[in-house]
Amino acid sequence: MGGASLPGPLDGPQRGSQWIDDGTLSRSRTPPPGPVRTREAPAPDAAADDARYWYSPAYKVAVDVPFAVAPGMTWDAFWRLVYDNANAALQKQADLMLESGRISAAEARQLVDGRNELLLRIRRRLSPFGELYSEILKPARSLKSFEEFMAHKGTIEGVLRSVGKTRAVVDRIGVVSRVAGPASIVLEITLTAVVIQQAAPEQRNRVAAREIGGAAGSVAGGLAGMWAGCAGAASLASPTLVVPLWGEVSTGGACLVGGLLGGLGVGWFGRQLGAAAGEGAYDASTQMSDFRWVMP
Amino acid sequence: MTGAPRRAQNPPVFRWLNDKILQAIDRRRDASAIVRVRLQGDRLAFEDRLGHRRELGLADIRRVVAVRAEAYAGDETLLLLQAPDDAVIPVAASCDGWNELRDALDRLPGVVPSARWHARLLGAAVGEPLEVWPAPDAAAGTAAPR
Repeated sequence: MGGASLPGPLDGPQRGSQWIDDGTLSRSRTPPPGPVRTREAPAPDAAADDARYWYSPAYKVAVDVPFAVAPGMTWDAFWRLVYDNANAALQKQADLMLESGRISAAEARQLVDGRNELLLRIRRRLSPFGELYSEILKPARSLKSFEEFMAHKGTIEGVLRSVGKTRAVVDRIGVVSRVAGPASIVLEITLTAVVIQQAAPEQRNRVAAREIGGAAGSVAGGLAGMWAGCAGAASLASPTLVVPLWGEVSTGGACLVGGLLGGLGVGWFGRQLGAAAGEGAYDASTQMSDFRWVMP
Repeated sequence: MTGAPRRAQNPPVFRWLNDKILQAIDRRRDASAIVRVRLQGDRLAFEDRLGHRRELGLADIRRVVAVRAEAYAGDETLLLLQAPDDAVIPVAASCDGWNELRDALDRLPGVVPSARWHARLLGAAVGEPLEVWPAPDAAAGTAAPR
């Protein structure tokens, strides 16, 4: 590799504690001639290079960003599925009892109370966003004064229309969450494993600490961001928020959109913080492992 | 209440914050979900999350409709009570005093008994209304189906 460096000693103008005068050279061994890279680790061949970097940063971002909201949405979708299955069994039982005409008041009450209790138990197990959103979905009326009561009185048909609209929106969320949520989690786990596996051996533990810390930070930030985003947007949309070209935004709709945006945004910051914390923890632990007690 | 959950997933501080946020949202929109209902003689006293109270005589109720409403994870039974001025009071099954309300409505003349409408509601689609009072068959003068 001619021209890569000037001939002469590899060290600087100082040999031990002695400075070397300008215009003189130190008497020391020069490295044997040959390609510069023979002094380093063998260069990976082209095929290995391709295998190492087969994912792009854009792909990683595309997987990392939605992962922030995936665990929360998947968790809630799981509980929704549990409820749907239990409710289907209760419905079947009620239909059979009604068809046979042998249902007593106590039996009917037991069935209904069982379902209501199940709903309350499931609601307590939702993500913080899910718990808040389910409360916001409840129909609300003003009892403050007679005038306001009348202003918000609505009609039974109006409430029924609102219930129908909410059902359509939540059904779509349920379908998307059940499919996209687990898919995002699987992609994230796979990509994290690949990034760790592809890291240089001496950097692998550090990369693992950074990636796992980042994923944990993303989940924590996503959960907190969804809850805060829902709360913030729902407050902004109360009593109503009119968005140009969109129209009036309901409190429930604002909570949902705010929750998703908040989860993605705060989740991303959480990932950065988690990654930094992971690396910091790794550095601290490796420094600690170098520590030795000195015997007097 | 239909039964208190034994264990909560979210820590109490989170649920306390949720309550505060819901109250703030309610104050801004000047509307709140009803959280408590009590029967006092022949009058029903409703209380919302902000502590506001309204009363409605049992005899003043014009119409009662039961419906299953979406609750994000699951659905919730709602009773929609229509007052003489056509104002609607929605009461959810998770509301404190739900059983009292259900029993009180069972005393209305010609009402569909709660055992029947409750069981039918289990099989109904979300958003499909069931007329509880006046009973749909009462006007036609026929025997109640099912």
